[in-house]
Amino acid sequence: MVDHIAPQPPSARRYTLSRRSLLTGVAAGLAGAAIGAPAVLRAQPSTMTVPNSGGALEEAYKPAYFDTFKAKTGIQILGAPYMDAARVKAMVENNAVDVDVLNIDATEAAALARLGLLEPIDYGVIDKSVLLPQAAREHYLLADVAAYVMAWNTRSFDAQSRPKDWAEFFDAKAKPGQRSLWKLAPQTLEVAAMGLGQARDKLYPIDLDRAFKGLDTIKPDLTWWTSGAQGAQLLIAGEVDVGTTWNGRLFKAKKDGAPVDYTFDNALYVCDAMVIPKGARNKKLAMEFLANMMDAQNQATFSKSIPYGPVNTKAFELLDPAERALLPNSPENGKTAVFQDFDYWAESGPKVFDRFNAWLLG
Amino acid sequence: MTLQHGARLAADGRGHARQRPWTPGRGNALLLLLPLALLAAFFVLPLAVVVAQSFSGSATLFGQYAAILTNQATLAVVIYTFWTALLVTLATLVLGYPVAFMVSRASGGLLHLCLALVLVPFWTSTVIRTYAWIVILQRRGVLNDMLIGTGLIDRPLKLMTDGVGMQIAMIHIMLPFMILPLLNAMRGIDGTVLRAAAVLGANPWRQFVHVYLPLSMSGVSAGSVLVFISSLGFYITPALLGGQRTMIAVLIEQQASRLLDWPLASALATIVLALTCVLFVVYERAATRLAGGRPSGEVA
Repeated sequence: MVDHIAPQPPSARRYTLSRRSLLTGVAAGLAGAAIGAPAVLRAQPSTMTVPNSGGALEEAYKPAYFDTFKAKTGIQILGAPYMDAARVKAMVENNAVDVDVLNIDATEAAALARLGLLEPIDYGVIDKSVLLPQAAREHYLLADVAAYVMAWNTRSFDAQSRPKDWAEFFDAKAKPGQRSLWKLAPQTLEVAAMGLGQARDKLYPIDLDRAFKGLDTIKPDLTWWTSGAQGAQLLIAGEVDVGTTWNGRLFKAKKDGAPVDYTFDNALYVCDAMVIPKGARNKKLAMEFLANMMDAQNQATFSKSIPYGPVNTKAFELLDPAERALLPNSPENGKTAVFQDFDYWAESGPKVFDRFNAWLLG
Repeated sequence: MTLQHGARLAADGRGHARQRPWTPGRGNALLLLLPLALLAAFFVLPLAVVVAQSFSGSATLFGQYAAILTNQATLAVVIYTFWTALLVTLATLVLGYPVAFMVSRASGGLLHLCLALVLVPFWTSTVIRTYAWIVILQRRGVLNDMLIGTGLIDRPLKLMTDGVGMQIAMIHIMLPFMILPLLNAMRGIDGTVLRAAAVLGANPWRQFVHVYLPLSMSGVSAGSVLVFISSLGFYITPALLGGQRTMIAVLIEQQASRLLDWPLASALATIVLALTCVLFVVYERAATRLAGGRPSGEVA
């Protein structure tokens, strides 16, 4: 799961608010003039609830997607606490679907899709041609691109002396130092396999023997982390010299002068997805919401307030070089990165989790 | 304990009801209706669903259980969980018994100070205390810095990777759960019994082994069961401090919310539940016998 921090300057909140109140005014005018009466006839809801990871992500969603949707349709979007896959499964299986569209980790989206709990995405409403090919899935839509990256404490390494790739990360003799990894099979096994030489363009299916051999080689120098905050803290405090984390976790710390740095080289793209649970009442509106979300301008607005890249390829043209430099999948940063295969984990998850747990005990 | 107390009140209430149509005792029994209804709706029923679910999703009725029992890794996690719970119970007992003894003898300001020292950590969030232990135990943490500084060791101890850190933190977190029942039992022990033993010629060791310890056993068993059962279900501390090791709650979370295999998650949860119930029954039997046939929690 990608969890989100608040990489946000204190001034951003005020900016958002003033912008929102401006847009609210515009929306009220539009709603009254253009769609007031027909909206009543179509029994359109006046609000829609979109559960999401909250925090900085929701702050970025508001100006980019919520306010623009309200300006277009008059419908107010309300954020709500994150619903994990288990909650969505319970909701759909008990015929109690009370949200129309939600933000969820892409591996969870793939697991839900595999169980047939999601509505198919209507690519008649959403323009597929401008999206990254990986983003437009049958039952879910990727919303942004974050990255599982190699990061280091700058007192131990600098950009030259750090392990130059995953092979050196998994070679404690070449680059001595304490390592850290996420204590979960997904993402960690991908980088372990790359560390022992699996080509990044042939990463799936993961060569598990190779990946576990990689973990074996650095086991004496390995510290596990289980939450995003903990993973970042290990690096910031110098508890480990080099490790993995999500770029959003270190973005603010680095900007604030903490002794950490990270690279997008050989990063693993992990994504947020949007899904429509099976049986959603306002399915058509949910599709329109997603179409608005995929708009190039809105995607660019989103990526300006949080360091997650757009899935609309046109959005990069609307960002300046300084903004692009912070995004995992900008043309400059994305040369050696690879997308995680969410469907692989939905398919092979149980087997691989089992083997990972067994390895941990071994 | 509350339940038993309530049940006893309910029984008393019925006893009185036969003689008179309304008594305060019977009123007390009626007070139980709402909590019982809430428990049934929000605890017993969901739990029953979990147990029922553990028998689904497989070709045979016990398929999930067979899968767990034949999976070396899962089995190892179950055993490790029980081993850790046992270790934490024994450690809190050894550490908590003398503390409870001292506090039970204290009075006035000292008593309140001692109680505060036990209760303030008890009221502090488990997450906060777990993070505090990370700060102390990590590779470049307070403890390792101190040991290296004094020259006792020359390379940092790896307390965070082999589960020792988790066990230390769990012992700390569970200590009040041991001390408070012990204290309850010890404060009920009549000091004159010990003096009587001394008058009859028992040395301090014999006084302790033959008089004091048996009288404090209700506290020992209540504290042990409380600590053991709570330790079985620990999630946050093993997740953050477990290092290489995994406890069963972490495994259940993986199955339930990442792999969406609810039948398997339910079966794992049911195993913990069933073993907990067995332990509780054993404890009740033992406690009743120790207290001379009276239900536990009724000493003094």
